[in-house]
Amino acid sequence: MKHFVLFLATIFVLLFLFALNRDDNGAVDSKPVVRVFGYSSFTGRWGPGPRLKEIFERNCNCQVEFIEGSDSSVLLQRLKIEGESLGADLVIGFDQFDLQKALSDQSWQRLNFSTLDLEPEIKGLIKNDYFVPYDWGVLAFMGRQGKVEEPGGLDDLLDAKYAHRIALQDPRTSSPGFQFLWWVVRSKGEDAGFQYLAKMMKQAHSFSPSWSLSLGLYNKNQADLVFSYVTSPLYYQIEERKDEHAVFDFRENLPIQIEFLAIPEFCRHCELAEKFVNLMLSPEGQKIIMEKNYMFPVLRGVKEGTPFTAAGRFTRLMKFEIPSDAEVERLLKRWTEIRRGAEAP
Amino acid sequence: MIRSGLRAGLIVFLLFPFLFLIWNFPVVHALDRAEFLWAAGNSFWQAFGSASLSLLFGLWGACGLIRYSSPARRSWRRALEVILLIPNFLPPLFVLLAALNLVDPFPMGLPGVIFIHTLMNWGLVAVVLAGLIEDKAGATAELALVEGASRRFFWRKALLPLLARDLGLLWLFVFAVCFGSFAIPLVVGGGRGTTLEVLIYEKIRLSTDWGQAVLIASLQSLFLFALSWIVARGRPALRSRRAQMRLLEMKSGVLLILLFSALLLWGYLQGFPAGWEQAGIFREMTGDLRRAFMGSLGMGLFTGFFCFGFLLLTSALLPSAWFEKVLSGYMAPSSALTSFAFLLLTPNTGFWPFVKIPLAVSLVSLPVLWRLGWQGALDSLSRQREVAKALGASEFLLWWRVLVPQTAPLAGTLAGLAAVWACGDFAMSRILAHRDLTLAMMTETLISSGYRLGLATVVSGGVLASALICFLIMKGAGHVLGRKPLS
Repeated sequence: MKHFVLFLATIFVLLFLFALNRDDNGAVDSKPVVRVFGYSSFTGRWGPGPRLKEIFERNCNCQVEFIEGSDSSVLLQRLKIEGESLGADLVIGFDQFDLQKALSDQSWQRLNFSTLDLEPEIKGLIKNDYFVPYDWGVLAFMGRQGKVEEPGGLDDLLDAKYAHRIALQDPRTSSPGFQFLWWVVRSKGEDAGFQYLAKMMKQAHSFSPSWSLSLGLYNKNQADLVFSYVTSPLYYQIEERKDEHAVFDFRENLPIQIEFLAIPEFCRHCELAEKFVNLMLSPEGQKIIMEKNYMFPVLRGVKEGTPFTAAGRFTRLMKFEIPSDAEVERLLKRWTEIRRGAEAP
Repeated sequence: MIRSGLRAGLIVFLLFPFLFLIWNFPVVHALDRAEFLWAAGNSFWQAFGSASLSLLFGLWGACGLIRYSSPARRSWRRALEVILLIPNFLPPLFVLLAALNLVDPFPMGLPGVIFIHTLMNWGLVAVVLAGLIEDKAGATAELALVEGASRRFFWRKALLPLLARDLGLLWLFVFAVCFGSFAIPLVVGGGRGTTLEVLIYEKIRLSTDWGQAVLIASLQSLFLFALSWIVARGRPALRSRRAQMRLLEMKSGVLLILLFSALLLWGYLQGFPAGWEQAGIFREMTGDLRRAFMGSLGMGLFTGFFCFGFLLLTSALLPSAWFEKVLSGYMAPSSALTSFAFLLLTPNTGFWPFVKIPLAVSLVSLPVLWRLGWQGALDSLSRQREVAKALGASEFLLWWRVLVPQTAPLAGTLAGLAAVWACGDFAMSRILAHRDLTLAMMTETLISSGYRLGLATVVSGGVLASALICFLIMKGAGHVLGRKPLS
């Protein structure tokens, strides 16, 4: 039995040493902790979060702690469950389709961003007092040049040559997935749009639960086309030095996604949170967000002289709208019925 | 009295997610019957197909394994068994990555779900069936060979009738596992093959309708509970002398095992070259990787020790007919529900994720471990228990001197499996932890960044290493504890 106890003791000493070795353990000092709720690809190692945190902590005499959620919906639930007890100071990662829900679920601090010199494409689009845009993107279909025939519009996607080769996202669980649904419905009208979606249900390779999974299927050559961002090819060019990927312009105006941040009413370090927002909206912060998130900066002039300028050639954009919570729910219900074959095309 | 209290306590722990969530989130909206029935149908058919194909291929593989029954070829048998068991105990993520590399175009939807589930489960079925065939049909096979029976005649008239009940039980085990599977239908279902588990996730994520989510989970568990009662328990195997099994041996079974395994390994390794191209990044990540590796070990070992403790506790709490019935029929709620139930129990900072995640993974794993061999092991000791009781042994002495020495090695192995699952878990950890604590979470972050699949494959190698270490430690703990009380 002695050996057994020794065996257990060794294991737990090892784990204890690991616990001592963690970065956050020695951090129980007097510095205030700014808690930032964000989605994992923003706060994770590859996202802009760590670099922004590093810069901010240099001058704020505080610590930034990221609380991760896999996406905006989970973040909102997390905020509801433990936001107040934990002390959420800032929430990052809503898009236009989350705003009404976020507004009805939580109380937020008023923020003034009217003095920001925004990019012309998004200037004047956002009229609210609580949610501040920090990046934006345009969505389109991406494919490998030379390997796939370029589609010119939504109807072309129903061609037999693309059968089972298009990777889409589930609109109920993925923001780009809802963008596609919204795009189709707004471009074609609701009834015609849903008829189109019913056909697409058979035509698409899959409706993945997240954008990343659909991109994974595309990367694995399971699909020839994927619904992604116009900045996606830049990732392959910059990080993997591959030029084969391209996004295709469509006859229909392309959908636009704007990402927002907000400060909850119950924030504990509200001033520090505002300072963090200011960093995110400074040219330095915007450049970091652009380069790590592969999204366009909201601040005018930041992307000039970078490869992102070329990606900005898609200027025929859909009208920006913030649908009501009920409208989103109604469209998703219709989509759900189509998915299980209950609504005939 | 204490034992009754412990029994009730264990059942309450297992039912905790249901009880806690029903208490906090009463059902306010009526269930959408059409949607529910559609998802239930998908769940049923994918589980039915997966279980049936796993059984079919498993039987074939078992006939391959039987070729290696003789003591001289035992080490080959062990090696083949390990190869067969790997996909079943690896996180689904690995099998998925490998399958997507292998099959192009991959059949998304129900066929894809069935394909992956079969890939994951047929090996386990083969190993279990090989043992069952040897123990139950060995002597009959030898006699049939001497009598000159044809292979087809022996299968039809002897083997299948002899094993019918065990085949039913094994089918039910795979059916239950696949029925409650979440990650595979979510990813491979392609949005069309929504199952009850995925529907629960959608209810929580999309409409924040916790009441409906708990209701669906409860109905799902009740269905499986009822099903497990319908299928009667198999007769205990009568271990016989080693028999001549030529009537059952199949060379094609061995080829099947080698082919499947080689393809799976090849599919998995395909992601590595792309990952190594970005090897420079690993130097920057050294600190993160080291911490995540230790985090994986921590999660794995805590889960392993929790499960080890729970399993030994159940051995002390038997015999009890109602307790055994509940454990046999119990099906854990969806992993998303379990995680959210633990999340609602604040606090969630500091060391708490290292307690909550292992507890949540243990809760989801225990029903599987129970069916995976623990129940059978305890059954086989019931006679010894009766004898010891008749001789006047106290409950504690009986447990410590008779049961623990004989069951601890198996408890260690099963707890090791739970540790492997904990090392590979990212879904529950993602809900309960505030940031990447383990390599599996790091792998998932790399995947969810969309562009970094190659790196994710390389990091997943570390998940395998941590899982192997945890498994060996737990197996060692079982071995040590099993030996000591006898000395």
